[in-house]
This record gives sequence, C-alpha cells and structure tokens, in this order.
Amino acid sequence: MLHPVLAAGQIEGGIAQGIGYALYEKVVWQDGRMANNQMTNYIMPTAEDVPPIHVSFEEIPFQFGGFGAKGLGELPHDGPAPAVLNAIRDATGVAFNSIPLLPEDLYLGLAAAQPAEETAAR
Amino acid sequence: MRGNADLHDFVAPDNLGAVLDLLAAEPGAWTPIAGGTELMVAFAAGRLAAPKLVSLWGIPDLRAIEVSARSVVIGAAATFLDLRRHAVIAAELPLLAKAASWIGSVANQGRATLGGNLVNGSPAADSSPALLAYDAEIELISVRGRRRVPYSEFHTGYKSNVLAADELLYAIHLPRLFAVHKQYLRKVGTRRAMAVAKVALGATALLENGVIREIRLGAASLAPFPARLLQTEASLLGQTISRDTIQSAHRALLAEIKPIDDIRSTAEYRRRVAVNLLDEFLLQLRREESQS
Amino acid sequence: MSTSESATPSKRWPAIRFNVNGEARSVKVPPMKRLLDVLREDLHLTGTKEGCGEGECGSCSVRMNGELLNSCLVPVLQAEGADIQTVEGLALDGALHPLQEAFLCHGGAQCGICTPGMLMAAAQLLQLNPHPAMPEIREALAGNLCRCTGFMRILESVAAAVDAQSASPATKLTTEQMHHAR
Repeated sequence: MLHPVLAAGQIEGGIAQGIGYALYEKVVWQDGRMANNQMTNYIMPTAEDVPPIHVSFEEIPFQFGGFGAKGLGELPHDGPAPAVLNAIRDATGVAFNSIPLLPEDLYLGLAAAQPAEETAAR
Repeated sequence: MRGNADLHDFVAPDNLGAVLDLLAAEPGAWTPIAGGTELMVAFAAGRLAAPKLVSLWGIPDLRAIEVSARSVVIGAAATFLDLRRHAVIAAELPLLAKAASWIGSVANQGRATLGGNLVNGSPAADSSPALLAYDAEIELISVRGRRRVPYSEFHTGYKSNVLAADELLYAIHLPRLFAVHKQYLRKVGTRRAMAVAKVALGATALLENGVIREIRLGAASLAPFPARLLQTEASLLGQTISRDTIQSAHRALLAEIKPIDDIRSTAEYRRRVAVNLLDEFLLQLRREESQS
Repeated sequence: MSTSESATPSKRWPAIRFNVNGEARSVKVPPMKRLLDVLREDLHLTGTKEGCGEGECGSCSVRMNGELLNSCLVPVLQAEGADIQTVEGLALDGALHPLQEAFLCHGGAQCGICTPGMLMAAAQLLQLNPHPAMPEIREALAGNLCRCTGFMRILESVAAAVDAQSASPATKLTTEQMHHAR
C-alpha cells in the first residue's frame, strides 16, 4: 500500500457509487434525451443515505509494478450492485435482474410473487 | 448558467407598504421573491419569465412569528429554520417543525420560506400536509386590505391559487387546538435527505372512547395540488378503528386520490404507499387507544 | 463571461455593499446577479464552487449573517449590508482551521470540488453545536454532495475536528462505532 488513506478513500467512493448504481441512480429517457439531468431529479445518495463502509486490504505485491504496486481507481464500483441484488434475493426469495432497483420495481416484483398479500387480514 | 441578470429589474423596498404599492400599480408585472430557492433555480436554467422582481427578504413584518392564546401566526417570509427554532411550534405544532426539517438541506432551510413553499404550489410541497392537518388559514394582503382563506381552499389547480394579481401571501394562521390531538406525518421520498415527496401524509385525530371524533388528513403528491382527503375522513369520522373501518377507509382513499406516473415514481406505487401510510396512522391510533 | 461583464457599462448599476471575510466590498453589477458569480468573478474568490446551480449540491455554500446558504440561489441585492464568510475566510492569519487540518489528515478531500462547501457546512455545524454526534454530522452535511469519497472520510474528518476541539474526548468512539450511530 503506497497511500493507504487515498486507496481506502477510492474504494469507499467506488462503493458509494456502486450503491447509487444499484438503488438510486435511474436515468429517465424521453425522446432520446435524459429527462432527469439535474441534481434535484438524478438521485444520488447523500451523506444520510450511504451506510458505513469498511475497507481492509490484502497486500499481494505485483511483480511488474513499481514498488509492487498496481493502480487503484474506482474498481470497487463493480461489486456493490450484484452484492445488493443478491442480498435482496436472499432476504425476499425474489430474484431481480436489473438496476437501479427502485422501490417501485421492488414493490411490483414482490407483489407479483405474492398475489394473495393484498387480501391478507389486518 | 443560462440566466441573464441584465434582463431583470430587481428592487428591494424596506417596507411592506412599498411592496404592496408596486403590486397595485402594475398588477401581475412584479414577481415577489423571498428566499429565492425556487425562482433562482428557474433563473439559472434560463426559464425565469419574470422581467421585474421585488424582494421580500428583510421586510420585518413578513418574517415575524407571533403567538397569541388562540393561534400561532407565521409571517409568510419566515424561513424553515425560523420554524424549527421556534419553541411553541416545536412543542405544539410538531408536524410543522418536522416538515421544516425535510426542506432540502440546512442551507436551503435558512432561505426557503413557508409562504414561498405555498405560493410555488408544488403538489409535493413539504409543508402542506402538516398545514392541512392543522386546519391552517392563509391571510392575503393588498392595498385593498386583508382577507383570509382556509388553506384547504388556497390551491385551485396545478400551480394555481386564489391570489389576486395585486395580492401577497401575508401570514399563515395555525389554531392552537391540536396539542391534544394524535398526530402523524410521514414523507416517502427518493432518498433520506434532499428528496421531493413521492407521497406524504399528515394527520391529526381526536378519539373518545375509541371513536374518532375529529380527523384531518392532508396529502402531498396524490393530486394536482396538496389536498385534504375528505372522503377518507368521512369514512372514518364517528367510527372505531376496526378491520371493517380500515377496509372502508382504503376504498375511500383509493377512490379519491389521483396519483400519476412521473419522473419520480409511479401511480401504482403511490397508491400502495398511500394505503400503507394511512394504515400506519390508524394502527398507531388503535395501539395508543388500547394502551390508554 | 468576465470579458462581457467588463464590457457592460457598470455605471448603470448602483453599488451593492457587503463584507466578505471581514473586508468591506462593493460591486456594481446587476442586482439579480447570483452571489456565487459575484464572489467568483467580481471578487475573484474562487474557493466557492458551482456544482449544480440549483441549491442541491452545496458546493456553493457560504455563510451570510451567521446562516449557511447556497450562494447560487442568492441574488446579490439580497446580500446588501450582509456579513459573508467564504472558505477563504476559514483560515486565520495563515493558520488552518481545525476542520481543514482534519480534512488533510483524514483524506476528507479527493478531487476537492465539494470540499469548500463541506468545510462551510461543517464550520456552521460546529458553530451551532460544538459536540455533534455522527447522526447530526450526517444531517448537517446532507446538503453537500460528494461523488469521490462516499462521505466516509469527510464525516471522519469532521468528527476528528470535533475531538480535537473538545476539552475531554473521553467518549471518543472507534470509527466503527461512529458510523453505526444512526
């Protein structure tokens, strides 16, 4: 690790982006244009939405890199969305295969899986 | 940035009389701007169709919050931080204090005003469900004098209201009657902060021996403007909270709301959430009754 | 943009006066000009950033008369007579503000575009509440969007600055405990 603070920061940022990708950041298209192209209606997670993120490193030196290093950008962007969808499948038994998975989509998917829910007694 | 500051006349009189005189001299020509959290967004987007603006920021009459024995009177230019910081509002009108904490960010709350939120008239307005549940009254003012309108009658359609061309929203009156009522307010948005409401429900109710004696339900984002759920209220008034009452309240609710599909959400989801919020309130009432 | 501004006959516009970071300033610009643009273009205080122009991202945050606000939403006429603090005013006599020190130590800045706004929002929080818990720090910064950090190190930096200023950091939490306090 050449710069632990920055490396962890990159991972945390990438994970937050991945969470946004998974659960928030829907792009709405109308006539070939992005309809929600403002920060008010393109929904990215705020400081109140991002959960605690824990980072730890397994250091395995890369023989072709200076000081054994490899580059690190926001590769962690790749992992969170599949992880979140797998967690939702684990929790609900329903498999969702597209992102972002908004509450509207979740509701339809869960309702389709349990049609009797609407008439359940209170 | 698409706004052109050169194209706008902008004046800032230091007293209310001068503002009203301007509005009377050229009705409809002057656009009042208080905290600017709505109009300046339009300005930056190049769509502020307001060649002449008059500032309401810094006019003391408009920002005062006065408490009498019977009511709390909030000046239209009171900011949402003013509301959050006011002891009586926090104690007796907690739904309004809660709604104030929903407005954008802290930085927005220090500029956005209650009057601006109402005059802007978004169907998703954060302060509206609480004001509807609290039976608020709006006071309008012009050179011709003052008049009052129940807030539930202020909006007449999508982004239209009863303000005359020379009129200004002056104050919002809240009766000090609700401290003994059960109260509920919840917003479902796109994220935990800085979220426009997909659905919001504000409710107050008074029960006597398990029977609903009074009930007021205010909703956002379920109609072209924030509105009381009068049919749902009627289905609950005089009833105990039984399974049958809840089912009939669902039917009334689903018959009277008109949610739409839009950039934020879907009509179907909104319908489901509206029912869920109503249930959450009614079950909370039933639970509290059985505990007392 | 600035060349066309200087071509505008400025004597059309009466002077608007306010204090910025303790100094009296005066500008002759259209009264609808955004405070953000006046700060950056007329006063050359470019620390305050424009991220969205809609009061949503917080990178234009400044403090005016003791309140935090988004300068992209303030027409400069409404700043007449005001006391304004920008990020340039946080450091005193060359000494960094404890928040700035904490951001440096804890990796609170990556690209830096949100950083001035984050610092102003955090400074405002600590002014009003010197001992905030993590949920209060999150709420105070909820109006400042950051794409690079995932907020973690920004929140830690603010918490660290709170500890540094606190007389008795006896209740110092671990990073894990801090973040799980919701």
